[in-house]
Amino acid sequence: MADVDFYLSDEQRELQRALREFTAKEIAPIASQCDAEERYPVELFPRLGALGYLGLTFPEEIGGSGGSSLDYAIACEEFAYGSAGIALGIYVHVALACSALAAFGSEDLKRRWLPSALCGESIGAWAFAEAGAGSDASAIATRAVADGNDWVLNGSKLYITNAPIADFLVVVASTAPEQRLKGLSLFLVEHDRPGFRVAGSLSKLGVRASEMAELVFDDCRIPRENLIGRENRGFLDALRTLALGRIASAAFAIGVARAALEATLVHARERVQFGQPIGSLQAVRFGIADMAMQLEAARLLCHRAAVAADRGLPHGREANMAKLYATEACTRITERALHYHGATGFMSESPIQRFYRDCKVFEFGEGSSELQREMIARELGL
Amino acid sequence: MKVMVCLKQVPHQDARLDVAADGSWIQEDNIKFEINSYDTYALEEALRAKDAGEAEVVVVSIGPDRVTQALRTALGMGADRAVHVKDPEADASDSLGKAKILAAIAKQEEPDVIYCGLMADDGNFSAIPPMLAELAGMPSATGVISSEASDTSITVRRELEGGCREVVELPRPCLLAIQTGANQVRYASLKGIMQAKKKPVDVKTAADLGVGEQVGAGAAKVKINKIYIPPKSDQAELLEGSTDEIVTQLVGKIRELGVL
Repeated sequence: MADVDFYLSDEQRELQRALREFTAKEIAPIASQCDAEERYPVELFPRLGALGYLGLTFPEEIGGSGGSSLDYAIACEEFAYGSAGIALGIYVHVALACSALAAFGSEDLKRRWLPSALCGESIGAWAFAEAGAGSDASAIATRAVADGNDWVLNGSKLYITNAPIADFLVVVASTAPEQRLKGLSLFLVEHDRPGFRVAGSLSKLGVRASEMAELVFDDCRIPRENLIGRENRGFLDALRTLALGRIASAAFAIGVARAALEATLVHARERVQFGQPIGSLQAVRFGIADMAMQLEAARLLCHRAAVAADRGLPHGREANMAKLYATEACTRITERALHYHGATGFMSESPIQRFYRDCKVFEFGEGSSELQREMIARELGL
Repeated sequence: MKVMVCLKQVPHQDARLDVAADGSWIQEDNIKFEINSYDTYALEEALRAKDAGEAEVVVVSIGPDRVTQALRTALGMGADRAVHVKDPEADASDSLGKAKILAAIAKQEEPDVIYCGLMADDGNFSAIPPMLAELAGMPSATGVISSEASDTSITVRRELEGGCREVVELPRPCLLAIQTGANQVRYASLKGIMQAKKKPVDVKTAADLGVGEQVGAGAAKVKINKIYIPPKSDQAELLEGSTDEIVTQLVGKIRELGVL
């Protein structure tokens, strides 16, 4: 099909082409195996770093390329097209750990960690969620207490993506429990700090190429200068770090949905039943037409939110709608893809069942669908 | 050192190809294009020459507006500048006409090495590299899978039939037609993509290059009468039964044909 994304610049088309090529050759071929083995291909990081892809959204003065939100949406879609799990690992490293460090970290912390992180030679994780704190950040119970020249951390974190492969973690902990949300702070914890350990890896339904684990802090001492940003400003800083998350989630869903749609188109042309390709049967044709339409609608919403963000326009509602629509559309599209593939797609070796499993996490991660609907309703004045 | 790389933009390998209504070529309106796969290996070979020492890499392509995209890709991968021959008459030329245009550019640029892909994914002629070498007065090697330059010459390995290899030394300037798989083609880096916009693309016509009279549909000696998709044959007969029964039937069929 011809290119009708009229709003993309020449550079954005080139970025899309280059990432598509990289994904086709380096990510898609290993996606099924990494999913089956629940293994993150860490060797991808230095390769992504050398090509500058990890620095896409970072300012030029710290070794990035100063890319836009739209550039970022393009990149997320392409990586997720190859593997949602692998894309998620890149996202956590770049958009959460490195972004928080770049935006709020001291010059010293940035100098120590960012160059190697943007080259992909060290990997970051974002330690926010806990057993009792998901959407509700005010329930964060991990404590950080100042003691001489150190901070002492105690508590545990759950569902932390990249934890088993991370060299450094950006940890959200409470420095003033009585102030709830306004008492949270961000800290950089190196993976080999005494008192810190990554507890057992967690097995998941989807995005299995990304590795997830529980973290335990047991009188973990870190130097005072490992505080990222200002004390008790952690929640606001975390929110700013997560701002691009909805656009990224939408783009991930779009990438997975596109992979599912393309596979279904091939299958519909090749699979012959009742003497004709199933793509000639109206029931299937109409279903695939709906899949394509939903995919394009999702991409338009996502790119609109990204362009609005890049132009400094209000984009909260746009990002909510993009995230909500794209992630739910992706679930519908991958369900239809699996349905039209039948038993072929149901087999473990088929990528179709992986798409079906991978998309669900995007509906509740980065703000659940219910939260998105609530925020949209509020924006509408209800 | 200066090297020139000839690129052709061809329909994307995933594009669905339909024959145009007049049967002269495929419908180009609604499909995506990409750099001919052979030419990506030629470009990579040239970029490696650049990495190994001082070399300016000039990429050259003939074709309509859409070819800008292919040139931009090459510039993003590391080429230094581009020449785009944008001229409907040039597009209407046969292989010899296009080779004359490329030879005219080579005369202006005076490259030490010209890298071409061995053939084009769409046309499959394999004609331009040897024609261009002849017109430019350069020795050439085709089917090249690796190249190594010294001060005055270039040593290449060629792929022959049956897995055999041949080592050939050519004096410079010369032309190399590169085989697919010769190297691992790099990805454009983000920095490369951002820098590509600032790199110059010269747009020219055949007349600008002084070969306006020698090219175009009128001068073409090879004309495409039509292209078509051969009709599907329904002459296959499937033999059924146990293995023994199938073998017996098969032998019977072969006897009927009188080949045994």
